[in-house]
Amino acid sequence: MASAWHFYGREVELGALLKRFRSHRWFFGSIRGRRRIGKTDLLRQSLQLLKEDHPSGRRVLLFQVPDSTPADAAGVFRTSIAGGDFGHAISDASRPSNLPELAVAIGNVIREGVIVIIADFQVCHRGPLRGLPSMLQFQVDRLQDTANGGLIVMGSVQSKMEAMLANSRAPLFGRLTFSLSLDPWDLRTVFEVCDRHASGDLQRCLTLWTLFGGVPKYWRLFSEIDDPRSISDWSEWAATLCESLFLQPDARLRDEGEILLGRELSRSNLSVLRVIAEADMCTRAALRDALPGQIDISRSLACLVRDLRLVTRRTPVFAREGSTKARYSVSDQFLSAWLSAVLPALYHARLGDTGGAVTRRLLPRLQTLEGFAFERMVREAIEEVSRAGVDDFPLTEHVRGYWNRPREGSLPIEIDVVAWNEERKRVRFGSCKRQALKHTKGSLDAFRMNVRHFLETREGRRFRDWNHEYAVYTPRFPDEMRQRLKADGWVCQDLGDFREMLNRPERGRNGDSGASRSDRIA
Amino acid sequence: MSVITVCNANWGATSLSAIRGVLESVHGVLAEAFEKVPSEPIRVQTWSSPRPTVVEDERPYQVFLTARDRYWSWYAFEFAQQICHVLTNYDNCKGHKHKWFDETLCQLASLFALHRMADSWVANPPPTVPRALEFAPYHLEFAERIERQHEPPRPEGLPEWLKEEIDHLEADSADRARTMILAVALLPEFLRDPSLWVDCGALNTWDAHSDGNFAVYLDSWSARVQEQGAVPRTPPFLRRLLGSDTMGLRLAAMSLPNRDLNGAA
Repeated sequence: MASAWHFYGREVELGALLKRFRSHRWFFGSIRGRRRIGKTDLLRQSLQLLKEDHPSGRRVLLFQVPDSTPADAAGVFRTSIAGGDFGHAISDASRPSNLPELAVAIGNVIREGVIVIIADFQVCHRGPLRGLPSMLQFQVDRLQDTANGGLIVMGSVQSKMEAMLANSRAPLFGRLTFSLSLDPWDLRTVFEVCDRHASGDLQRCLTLWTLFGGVPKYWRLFSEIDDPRSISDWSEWAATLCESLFLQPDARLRDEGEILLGRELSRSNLSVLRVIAEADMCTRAALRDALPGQIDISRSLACLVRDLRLVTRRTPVFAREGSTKARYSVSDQFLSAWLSAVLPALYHARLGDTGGAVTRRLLPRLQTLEGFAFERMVREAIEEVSRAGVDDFPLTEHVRGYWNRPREGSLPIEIDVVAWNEERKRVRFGSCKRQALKHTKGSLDAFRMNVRHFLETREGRRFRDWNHEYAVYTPRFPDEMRQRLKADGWVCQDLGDFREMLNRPERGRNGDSGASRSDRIA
Repeated sequence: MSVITVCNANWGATSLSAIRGVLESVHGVLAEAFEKVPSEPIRVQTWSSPRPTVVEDERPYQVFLTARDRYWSWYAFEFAQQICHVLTNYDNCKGHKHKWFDETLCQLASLFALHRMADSWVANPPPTVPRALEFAPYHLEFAERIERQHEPPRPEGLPEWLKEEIDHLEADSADRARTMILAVALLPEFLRDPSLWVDCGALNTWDAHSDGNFAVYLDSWSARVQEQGAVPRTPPFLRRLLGSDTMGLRLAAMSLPNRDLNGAA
């Protein structure tokens, strides 16, 4: 039977919101984050917690802006008002029917001490509702000295939200009293959820993270499908999972990727994104080879990396800013999986080619993707345990990797993890494998050779006189293998080790969702 | 009105009333044991440094905690330590070399409070702490985990242990790994006889700078308790447990030069 779903993680953000809600001062905040990241859930949870301090709670009005006309938006606002106890705040005569009246009505409700939450605020960036931010500015400026009430705007399209709130020419620029940007869950939360809803199987945790990243809604949908946990074989389990969530005609995430992309992307950017997703770690040269000449790759990359943050640009450690060795990857784990593994299978599924054959073709691609996802997960985990101060290897810089271009040297060099502590002159080189058994004697020898060659390079020379540590990572090490590798001087860390460190036993049990939840973690 | 105010700050995923419920439990346990309450209200705030603290010479008392979210035992552990500092008059006599004993007692107070709360939350769960009854056994689990990590020598080995460690302790009173070992050693007796806490309320009410060693410090403490009209029980207990002979030898060795100096003066 599936475990009951809780609100997971987001402690810092909850604390920040609660602090605002408890204060008796006006606030104007923004909550930004991709679709399905849990903006509304965060608000709901914070209001729930607030009731413990103020049993009668704070009055809150949620106004979901429709992507429609001013009259329609005013109508939706009137409906939202009618659903709550706010009627006295606006006389019948001033019930809004257009944008200026809507802005005034919002201001009036806030003056009554109500917290107004405007969801999908990004629709006000362009189109018929583009005047609303300017009219809200008038209200916000007059509400600044009031003691109660607040306004929170929420939006999923980062670029549009930033244009309306962070651009110095935007009417609401400089007005925010707080801003929350919701990222995907950290790994501590992912492990906790996995433990509760996926039996704590770390190999499957990797698969789920490859598919969903740390986006809460997708994990929740996973927790709600018919329990595939009983399937012991990974391939069969993964196939069932993908069919249930992506491929079946009524699958909950069948259209999710397209909705997500449709909100953000122009056609040319989408083409670039597809190539990057298919190649996993894509160079600019590979993009040039794969795309027609009329696409302005530089412009698209600038937009995808800087404005939309859908693509991450990674360079080898100590590479120069404009290094041509840069590699591009899709930042959003769900989008990456959807574009490179799910979408091709979905094309076949839509043509009626359903069942095992399609899914079987999807699985090898998913496994490849897991390899890349695992590297990313390890880098994130190393940083997260360092931030938490619970590892024996405190970092002084972000975890990096190293690769060269074979034509420059006699041998290609690829190092998944380069982590270091400048003060203690310690550097840790790591090799990540999706399967423990892939850490063969041959691959370990090759890895040490890679590091030796790296230390000969211009970038690597810096580490030459430091203490060198060699680490191997995999989702789960068999005990015997771990002992053997440790005896040979390797640092062995798997996802179980990271989970244990991030669980922070020195803090004791979390009373948040009851002892039963803590028991599972332990 | 509550003696404890939890200031509005980013405490993470919890309400202020729940935190206050936990802290009041701690306060209740220690106030009962010490048979006194803090002389002024306590304001509790968040703190991002690695260790909790109570600010010297500030009234109301300003306590800073690193605990967050709903890790109730973590709050209890940190707050008990700080409230013990308050009840032992921490800023009345500062900077003497026996401060390590204050630290020991206050870590002992943390363990003591956790043990007591494991019971009191069953009998009388604080109403503002969600699922307090369900949580109660985890206070004990938390305390026992720390106790396992700081296993002390057997009681008969304590004098020898202290003889080895006292120079370190006097040099660095904040060496909590060492003070916790002693706290764990003292815990069973304080749990068995909580009235041992009462004498601790007299600490730091005399000038401990002139106490040349720990044995003299214990004597001064006894004298202070007697001055307050009570029969000292805790200092003699500590003398027995920690080895008066060992301390006496140190006393003899260290007192002579002091007397000479005094005489010369």
